[in-house]
Amino acid sequence: MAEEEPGETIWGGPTKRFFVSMLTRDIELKDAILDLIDNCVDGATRQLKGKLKGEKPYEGYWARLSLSAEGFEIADNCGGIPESSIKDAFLLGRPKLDHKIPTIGMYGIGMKRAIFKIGEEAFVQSFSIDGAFEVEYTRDWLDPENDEWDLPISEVANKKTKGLTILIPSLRKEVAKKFGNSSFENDLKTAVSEHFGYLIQRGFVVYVNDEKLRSRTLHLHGLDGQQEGIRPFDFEAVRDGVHVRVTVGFFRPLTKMEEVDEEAERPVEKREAGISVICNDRLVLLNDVSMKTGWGDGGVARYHPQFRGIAGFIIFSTDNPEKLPISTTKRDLDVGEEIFLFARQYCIEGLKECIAFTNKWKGMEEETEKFFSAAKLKDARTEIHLAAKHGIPLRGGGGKKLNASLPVPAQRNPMRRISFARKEDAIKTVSVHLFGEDVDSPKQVGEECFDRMLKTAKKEGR
Amino acid sequence: MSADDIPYQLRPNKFIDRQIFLEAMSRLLPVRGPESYIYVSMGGRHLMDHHAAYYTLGIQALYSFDKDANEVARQKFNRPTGKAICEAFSSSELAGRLDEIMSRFRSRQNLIVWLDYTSADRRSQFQESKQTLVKLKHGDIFRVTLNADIRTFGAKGEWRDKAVGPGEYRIAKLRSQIGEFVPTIFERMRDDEFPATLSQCLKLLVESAQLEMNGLTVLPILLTTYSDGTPMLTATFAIADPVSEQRFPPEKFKRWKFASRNWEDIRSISSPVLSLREQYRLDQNIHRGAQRMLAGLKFEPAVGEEASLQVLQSYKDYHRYYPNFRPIED
Repeated sequence: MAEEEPGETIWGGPTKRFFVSMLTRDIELKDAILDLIDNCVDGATRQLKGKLKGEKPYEGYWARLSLSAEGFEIADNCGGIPESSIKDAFLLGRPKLDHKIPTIGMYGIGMKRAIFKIGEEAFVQSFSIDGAFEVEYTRDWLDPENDEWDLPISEVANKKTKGLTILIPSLRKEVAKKFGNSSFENDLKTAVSEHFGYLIQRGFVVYVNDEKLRSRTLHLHGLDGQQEGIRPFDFEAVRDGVHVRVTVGFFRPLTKMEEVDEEAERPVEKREAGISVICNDRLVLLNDVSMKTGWGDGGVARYHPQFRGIAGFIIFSTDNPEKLPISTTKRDLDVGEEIFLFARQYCIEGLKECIAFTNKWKGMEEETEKFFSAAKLKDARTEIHLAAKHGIPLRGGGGKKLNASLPVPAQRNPMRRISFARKEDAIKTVSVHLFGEDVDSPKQVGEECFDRMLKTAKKEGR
Repeated sequence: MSADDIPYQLRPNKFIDRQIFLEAMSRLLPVRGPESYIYVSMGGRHLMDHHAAYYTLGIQALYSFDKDANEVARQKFNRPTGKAICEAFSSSELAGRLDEIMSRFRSRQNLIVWLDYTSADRRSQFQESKQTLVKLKHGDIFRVTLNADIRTFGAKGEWRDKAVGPGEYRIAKLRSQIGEFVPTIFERMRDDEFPATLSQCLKLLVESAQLEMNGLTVLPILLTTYSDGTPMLTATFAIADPVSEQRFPPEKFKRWKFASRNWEDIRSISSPVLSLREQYRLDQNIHRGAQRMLAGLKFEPAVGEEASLQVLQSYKDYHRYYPNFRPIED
């Protein structure tokens, strides 16, 4: 039988332009830098060979960033790139996945995309136990018109500190403007403290322009064990090789109705309410108040300033990063993932309990302050273990849950809120009539009117 | 009673602060001329600032706003000229109205905008300031007064059970209000550090605005803190195009005694409330040191010698601006 003639083919591979100038548009500058720190953490995790038990497994590992309008550098002591991985490390995309290590990097694009986003040229130096080398991204190589893909690599003298250094001596114009701006620098530091807060808590250290960053993690009001009072909703389970934890509670006392009214007129507070999602100790979503985390769905009310005290997190931990519900940018969720939907169900349960609490005490918020004073703020990840210690097992096994404990007001004579609006000059007239002066608070005027009428009504016996 | 009701002889430091501002303007305006400027501020019911801008600086294009219609009616009654425009809206609307205000004074190219806040609604004030800044152009001047009173973070002892100390509690509260503008390095704020902390927050606000200002720079030219009971911080900025041929602020402005060189360079105004007789006695010794001035008084104008020397030094520094009007029986 005659051999079949191969048909014509056309080139279906990538172009340089796609990687160096298109892909970079998918990610914000700040997130690109967070990707670089993620790589440092992944390096430390590999060094630890997955031994991440204990309070501070990352102690001794650091990443140090320097940025200014003149250039950028990130250096770490997280082991560098071993000789066996050099080729893969500089490919655009990962040929195979490193299972058994709880990283979140899967796609093998973060470091390269960050370099393309930030600089006009770059040097990557690796100092590992089995050798040291430097790879250079030249201006020519980074030219979108240049179809040359080979990168120059050379051996360099090894150093005692094993790690990776990325040096970007010339920045893109728009990046230089941001790196020279202290507001951008402050925002970046805040983002690092939030995104890597749980890793910093576990011993990893990040310096940005010589400032050692503090962790910013979720703190909730909570009593221990079965005590009566404010206690968050807490759930944990293992599903398909992923450990899931959901905790929802209050990080501040209830929002008073006057505060809600005030917020409608002008911004008062930075919003810190909402649900955060953490994957392998990295923050993927911060203080979300959308349907992604269950607000406005499954019987939960949509977010409203009344719920300004409610916060929580969903934590996913696994040795198999493919199972994490995250997108390629590592800063967003793949909300369609089954594991995420599973966790979201419990988040909805927690939100419902907390929202119901705010509704029950509506108009009497001040009366709940004693409960909040009694239940001190605690670090939600390290100091609240309610499901693990006191939770009831889930039907079918695989997890434990402890519902929130939130006091309810006595039902015999519940408080009701009276709310209405009147013209300013009318309120002033009544205020002068009642108090002899124009008092600042319309609420005070309304309350005095009611109290006087109540007294009269009682006196007249009607 | 609002601060507006308190006569200036009882709040000399506010008065001095405004006089220093007017002197700063007199040194900045000649670059483009007072005819180029529109003066925009809340003004208060008596439009004192507008009177000063008109009579002292020669600015004829005057604009005031207040959310209270009755206050605006009173401003109209008190306006220095019939051309001054007084309108009713809140400070949150100002940024959105600047183009319209410019169009009302067609021949003017520049703005002096003063947001003179008294309350501690910091989040809205910072946002409004940024929104206003990003609308400004080369040669404009922006000024903001902020409440710098630590008592706005709650009563003494409120920090217990909530933070490790009062300083940490204040910073946490400030972060909950304007977190994006508070430098990450700040861990606590001591009793006397609020004006300096707010100045650093303003620095981040300005830098954040600059990212949206197409290459324009915002330079702090006068930073003052004063207290007539409530500590305040006032910051004045010049908006400049670094590539413009017309240098703004002019090079020689830096030589002015009170010009701020950086964000830490804050002038503290803490002159005492003085009777005319006391003022005359101090003026006789003004060329001498604070110690000699105090000896000349034979009493302490503040609580204790150290505080008295401090207020007398402040009087010595700013006596040129001290209010001279008094009730006749003083």
